[in-house]
Amino acid sequence: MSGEPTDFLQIERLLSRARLGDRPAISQLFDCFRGLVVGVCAAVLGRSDLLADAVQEVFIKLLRSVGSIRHPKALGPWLRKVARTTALDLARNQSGRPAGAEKNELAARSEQANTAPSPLDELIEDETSRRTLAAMMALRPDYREVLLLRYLHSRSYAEMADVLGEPVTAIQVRLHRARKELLKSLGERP
Amino acid sequence: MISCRTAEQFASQSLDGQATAAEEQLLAAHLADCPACRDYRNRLAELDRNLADATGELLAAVTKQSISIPKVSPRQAPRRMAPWLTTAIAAAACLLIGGTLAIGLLGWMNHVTRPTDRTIATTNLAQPPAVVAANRPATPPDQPARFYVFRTVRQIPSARGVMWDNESGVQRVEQYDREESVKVVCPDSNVDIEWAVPSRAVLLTSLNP
Repeated sequence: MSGEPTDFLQIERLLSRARLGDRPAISQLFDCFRGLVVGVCAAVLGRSDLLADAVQEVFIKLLRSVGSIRHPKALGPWLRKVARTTALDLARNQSGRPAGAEKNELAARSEQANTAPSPLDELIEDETSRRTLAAMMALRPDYREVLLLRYLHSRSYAEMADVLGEPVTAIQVRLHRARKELLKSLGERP
Repeated sequence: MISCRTAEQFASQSLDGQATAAEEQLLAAHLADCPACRDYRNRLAELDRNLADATGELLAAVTKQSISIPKVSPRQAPRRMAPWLTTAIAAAACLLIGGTLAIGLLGWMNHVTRPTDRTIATTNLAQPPAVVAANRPATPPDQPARFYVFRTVRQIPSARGVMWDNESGVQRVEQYDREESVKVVCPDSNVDIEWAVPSRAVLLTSLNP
């Protein structure tokens, strides 16, 4: 797991230095939230070809807006929102579909992932990991987002609740259901 | 005794280290008596390991692909300055504002006394246009027209401006040699320009509306 539960004092210090253009601080800030950004972008995109571009773009947006982020607690939710919109914009631009097609697009991608390997698998060598990731990407978007955040960003329900802007109980129930769904899905596959 | 459904929920929380001590106890008691939930818990633990591996690989692959610090600079936050520097900057700012106001006032006076500059054409004289068409008025106005020839570089040895009259055609030909700008009095406020010189980019500006 890349991002341990964030220490807000540490984030505050990094933010202060990043605002002054301190490159090592910016780099450390990236590292703290890389898992979050990759998780959200992967959950939205479900494809490997645009993932790195999306993550890079989010970090550029962070770098440009770092001066306007006042509170360290606001950084996680801000990044999640930016990652989501960035990934959706990239996906739309790529497919040329209208903005209103988001839900249909995600649902269609989920259906496709049920029958064909997710393009994200291309990034992974281990067969079990590929199968697990493919099954995860075939879940509902909110299930796969919560799973990706849990494994890429944080083990803490409280922190996930902060980032997602939802109650802790909602997060724990969703994680439980997502895992159950995933077990079922993996059990059904040969 | 908790239900199997609750046990499954607690097993998920336990996996994340988010179950309370009481929940852990209830789960342990249930698992001791329920083989199905034990099996579920074991499969859940295996899934947890697989998910950790898969997402770890994914993150490593994406990081390896492209993620580096972008070569753009953050917007700089203001730094505290020494008092003497603040004073010096304030004085410079006053001078700058005063100068700007003075220039603006001059510009405004100029504006009210002279027509606004208007671009007729921008042309690359490697392929000079024979005539840059302008909207000539039906009847030539009484006002005199002026136009400037701005040259970008010194490659303009000479230029020739042709003042057109609606009635008689060419009214007057002006020749400009090594001039940076020319001023022509012309009865037609909208002039057509013909270039006879090789040059690079030239911006033609009319001073008449």
